[in-house]
Amino acid sequence: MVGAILWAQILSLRLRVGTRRAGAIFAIVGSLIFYAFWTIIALGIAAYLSDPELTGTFLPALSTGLFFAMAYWQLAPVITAGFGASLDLRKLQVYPIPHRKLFVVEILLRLTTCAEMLVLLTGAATGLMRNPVYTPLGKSCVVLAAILFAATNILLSAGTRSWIENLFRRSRLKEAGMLLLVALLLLPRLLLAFNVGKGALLRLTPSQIVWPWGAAAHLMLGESIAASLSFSGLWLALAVWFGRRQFERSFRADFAHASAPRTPDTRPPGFKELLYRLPSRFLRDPLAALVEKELRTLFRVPRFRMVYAMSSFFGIMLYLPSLRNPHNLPSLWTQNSVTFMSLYGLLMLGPISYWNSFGFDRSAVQGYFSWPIRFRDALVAKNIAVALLLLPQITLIALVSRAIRLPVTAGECAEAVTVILIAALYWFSMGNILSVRLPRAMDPDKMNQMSGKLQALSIWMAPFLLLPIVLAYWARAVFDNELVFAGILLIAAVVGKVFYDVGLDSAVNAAKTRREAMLVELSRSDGPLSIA
Amino acid sequence: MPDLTPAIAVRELRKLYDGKAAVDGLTLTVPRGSFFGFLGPNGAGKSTTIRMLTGLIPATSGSIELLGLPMPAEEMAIKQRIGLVPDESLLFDRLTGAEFLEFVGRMYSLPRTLAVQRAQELLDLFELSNEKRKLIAEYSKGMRKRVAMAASLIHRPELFLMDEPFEGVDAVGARLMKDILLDQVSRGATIFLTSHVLEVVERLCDHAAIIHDGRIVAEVNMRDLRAGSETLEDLFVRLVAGERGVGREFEKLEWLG
Repeated sequence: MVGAILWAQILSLRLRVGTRRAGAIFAIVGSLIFYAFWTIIALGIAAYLSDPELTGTFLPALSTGLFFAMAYWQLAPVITAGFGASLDLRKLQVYPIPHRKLFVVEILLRLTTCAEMLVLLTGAATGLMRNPVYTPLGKSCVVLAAILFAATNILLSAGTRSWIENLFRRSRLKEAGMLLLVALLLLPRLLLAFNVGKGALLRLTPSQIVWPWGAAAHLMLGESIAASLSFSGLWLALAVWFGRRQFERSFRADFAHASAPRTPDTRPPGFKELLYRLPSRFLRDPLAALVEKELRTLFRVPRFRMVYAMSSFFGIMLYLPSLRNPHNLPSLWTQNSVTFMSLYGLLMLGPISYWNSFGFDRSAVQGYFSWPIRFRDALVAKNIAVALLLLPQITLIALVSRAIRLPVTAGECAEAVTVILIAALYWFSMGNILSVRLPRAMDPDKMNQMSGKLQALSIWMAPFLLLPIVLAYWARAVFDNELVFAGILLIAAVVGKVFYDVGLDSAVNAAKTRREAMLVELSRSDGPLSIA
Repeated sequence: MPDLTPAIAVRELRKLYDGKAAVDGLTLTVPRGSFFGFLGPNGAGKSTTIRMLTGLIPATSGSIELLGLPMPAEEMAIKQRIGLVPDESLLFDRLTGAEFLEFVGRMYSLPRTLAVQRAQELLDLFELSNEKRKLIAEYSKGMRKRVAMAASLIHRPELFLMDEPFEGVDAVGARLMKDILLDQVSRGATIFLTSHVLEVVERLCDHAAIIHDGRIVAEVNMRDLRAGSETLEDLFVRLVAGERGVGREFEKLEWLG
């Protein structure tokens, strides 16, 4: 049964890879570089933990390391909205497959997310196994602890994914859920704000055995075996319960979503309707109608709403280490916090909007070729819609930054808007080309991100596309002169406009010759798995 | 003075995929004001032909003229005058029916107020008014077809290109759609539709063509056919299935018995 699911998926993927061999090779090279980086870190960890003379430093180091590994494991998929492969339950729920078996497949698929943490864990375990201080019993504890820790994280990650997907299907809960997530991320700041005592904070430190990372570290080092094993087991049991419960809820939620009719909404058009109609006040048809349609669509796609909210709030993560005393930090980092968080927001929106502009249109993309409009207008409208969404996003970021006492002024907000719009010219230009050359149908309800090829391309291109902005800030830091900064930004804007026009022409020309391939690609349905 | 050029004039149209012909030298003339049925088995080349007619995919060779204008040279002018109901829904799932109809109207350069007014009238006509705030993603297949047909009407086209327009539509909805199409023909519009339901074609159309393996194997004047003893289904099966006819191969599968 499980074999049949995987076989169907391989056949689905074969069609894609077969048509885009060059892109697949590019993605594989990108992945190799990525994992080579983590392997080098893992080798360093292994070398450190295999040294018998450093044994005394292992507990705090390992606890802290595992704490950060767990934080990365759980938060990286949320922050990047890249949850890896998962089962597409809507395609499988009609078959008599026991949920337990599907859950096992889903858990195995979680290995596709944050596999780099498994590489690090393997490095840590290998180092301890090679350390002559540890007896055979100690070595078996190392393996057991590593397995329990990995299993806990994988199950927790599966539950988190399902929980977020379920949350964003239920419109009334999504805001509350987002607030909860942000509150969790801001917990350290909140604790300080409420003057929690030092003793209490110390009890929260990573090496405490009650935490999953602390228990794993103790067990790996053969310390307090009974207690650490108990706590590790307890966390694993909790993770199993959470993962399974959320999976079952997804199953029911998907079924209800696919079959139940909705109650007609009889409410009069409100504030949102006015916002949707706003482009018609300063643009002419067909551009105005296209922008309006795009805004409506994006705000009704749960996946977009979630990433938009994340990209508005989660930039704060970059500043968590700085929150304790923001005024003592390097000025470049804190004084430009709104700009940098907004840049993060711009990059986050890419995979679900301008990098794959026609992903949510799917087969309806044929409309742009069937109606008497220019394809250029369709692309420009999509870019304008995202640009319009960047402005409230920057406002939100500024408000949140003020709330956590980061230094934010009106001038910095204006600077952020200018910089982000200039950066957007470069990203939109490349996005337009990719939207035509590497289109991919996207499921609005699923958390799967863009294709591996697109992800690899975006990582490779980021340094080039951000170069003009980086240059401007570098010049400001080196010359300490606002005129130089403004001059470089002006040049970046002019070059960006040329870059955007060239990219747009290239995308429009490619669409003329590739419209058939685009239609095929955007009409294609996935196999039983949703692949990130 | 009436325009005497055919609504559709296709000559030696070919479409090759990896050297294999999906449409192979198709020549066809559809007179203005006719209700034309384009029939064929699955994979015969019907949808490929419609996609070439609408400019969605380029032809490998051959020529296409719609409403007297060459495609793709006069692509924009042609698109302004045709209405399309494609096989895969040309619908944006995250819009409501009313929003989609208004949007399509504006794509055809209707002023917004007029597009809103016509959208509302079409929703009423197709009995979708009660669902006007519902997203198209939540529509049933029949409702999707109805809203797609409504969208094809909003700019009063002269030529309709329809791929299986009645598929998944209930009897009442199908009857309504047929009546609207017949009314459009009586007002001078031309309908070019594909359908697997031969009874529908037999009842509605005045002309039909049967395509098989990318080639036209028969052109039928429905008046002549109705006067004879052979039904459209008999003719279709004879031409498509050939001497072997429709077999009873399923009887060989013992486990199915």
